[in-house]
Amino acid sequence: MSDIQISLDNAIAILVAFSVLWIAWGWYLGRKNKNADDFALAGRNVGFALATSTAMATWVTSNTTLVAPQLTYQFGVWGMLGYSMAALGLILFAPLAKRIKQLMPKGVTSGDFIHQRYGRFAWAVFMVVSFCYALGWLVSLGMAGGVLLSALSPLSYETGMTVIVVVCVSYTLLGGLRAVIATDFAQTLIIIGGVCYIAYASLTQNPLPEVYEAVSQTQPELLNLLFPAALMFFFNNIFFGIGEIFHSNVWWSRAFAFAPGVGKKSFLVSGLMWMPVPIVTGFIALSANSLGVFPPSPDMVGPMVAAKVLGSAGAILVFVVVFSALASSMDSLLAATADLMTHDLYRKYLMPAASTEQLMTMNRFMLLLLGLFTWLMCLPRVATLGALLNFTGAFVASTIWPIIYGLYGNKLNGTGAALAMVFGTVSGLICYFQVGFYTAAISSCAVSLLTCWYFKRFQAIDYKWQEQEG
Amino acid sequence: MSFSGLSTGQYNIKFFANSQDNHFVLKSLEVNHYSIATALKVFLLGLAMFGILIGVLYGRVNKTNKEAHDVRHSNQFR
Repeated sequence: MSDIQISLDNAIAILVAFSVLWIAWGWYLGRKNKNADDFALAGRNVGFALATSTAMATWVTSNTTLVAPQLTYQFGVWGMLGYSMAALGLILFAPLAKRIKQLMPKGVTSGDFIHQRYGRFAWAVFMVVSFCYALGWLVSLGMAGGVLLSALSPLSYETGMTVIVVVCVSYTLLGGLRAVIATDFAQTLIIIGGVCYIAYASLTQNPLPEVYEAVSQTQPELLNLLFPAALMFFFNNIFFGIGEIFHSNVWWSRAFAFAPGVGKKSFLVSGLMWMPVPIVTGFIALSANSLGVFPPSPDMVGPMVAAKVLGSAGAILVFVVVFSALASSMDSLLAATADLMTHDLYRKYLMPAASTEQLMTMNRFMLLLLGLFTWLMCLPRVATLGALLNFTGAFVASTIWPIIYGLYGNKLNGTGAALAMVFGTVSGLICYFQVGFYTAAISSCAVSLLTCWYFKRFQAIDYKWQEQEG
Repeated sequence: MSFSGLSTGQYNIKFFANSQDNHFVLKSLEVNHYSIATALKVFLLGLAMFGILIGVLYGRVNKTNKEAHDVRHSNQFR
């Protein structure tokens, strides 16, 4: 525990204030939703400012605010830089967003694309990958809420985790994607302002030369550019980030929801804006030893250092920033995964003739189900945030090549795409357990690429893309 | 008082220790060792794959844009 904490009264007051604010706003925005398209895709007409802020806010999450300091604490300079390279996922998705909108102007989910382009077998594998990833991310977000609260206040891990899950489920339930995007805009402003202030205050109180001197003496390996585990982590994180964004319905639903011509610019700008954030949040972890901060779990290092440097006010600021970052990601993930379950499972296979009211009801039911499942999975704190997140890297990195070759190529068949995901995921998981969490994504991506090449070379097809109807 | 940390060089050491009443108890210790040669091979694999990714994306995006442009151009003269 940190020496400087938020008092119980203050912690409860902040939680209540934010909970009421986000839920009330979600309810207000939800009144405009008239049909399933409004609820799931915000009317498909989101403009540049909202589009950019939602893309950025969703990508600033527990990963950025808690895991970036953890990785800096464990891998030093490479951890910090490697984490900021996750922005490449957003930047490289920019042309894909344009292509997705061109090919599937009426599409709803990433599952639609895989089903249409590769068929049922690849779609089934893709759905398994998507759910494993979505649940891993959701659980890590819930855990991050608990870690944050228990690090900065007398409240327990279970209380923090429960509050973040209940608040996000409530306002997403009430407002759909429209509420998610609007709250993301406000949360982006809070995150950017808060992170800049924390970095400024940290540098003022603990100047760079002093940090460098302390790290050189106590943890020189953190400045070592040939630190082996960190070298392996660098590209692993890049492919993890690219895999997360290329396959996840969180980003595909945004590509569908943004107005025509907006997606490419928005993803490009949000990626460039996001890139410095992990460097800022990671940097403060380098001060931990010199400040005498020794967190019981490495994922608590960021909040604890900020609280130590800035005192009680700093602890409150960190609390607000991380709470906003968590909410901005969890709401998006809940909405996108519920869409995927509603449209790809319920509508495709159970109730093809479902009315718009039935779809909206089912979407809300899926949201509740996901929230409940996330809460149950978060209760036993199974791993550190970094380790849990990188576990999902084995799954998502296997989808990169099937997505690219599906969107831009016509030679890869459904069996090739499915096996690329299966072989990639299996090899990634083997490396995760046998070598370390920082090799899961890179090995998965490599095996997936080789499988795609084999099928493109020896079992090529000539797929004719036809625009999705209806 | 509880604390955890990392140690030096090519060893990635994670430990979780507890100190109370002048007694120091090491509660868990995890040591991984990778040679710099292995790490550089993984790094180079990542670099090569990233180069392929950029090359494939750049080539295919340009090709698609050109095709779309050609279609628009031909439609203008119909």
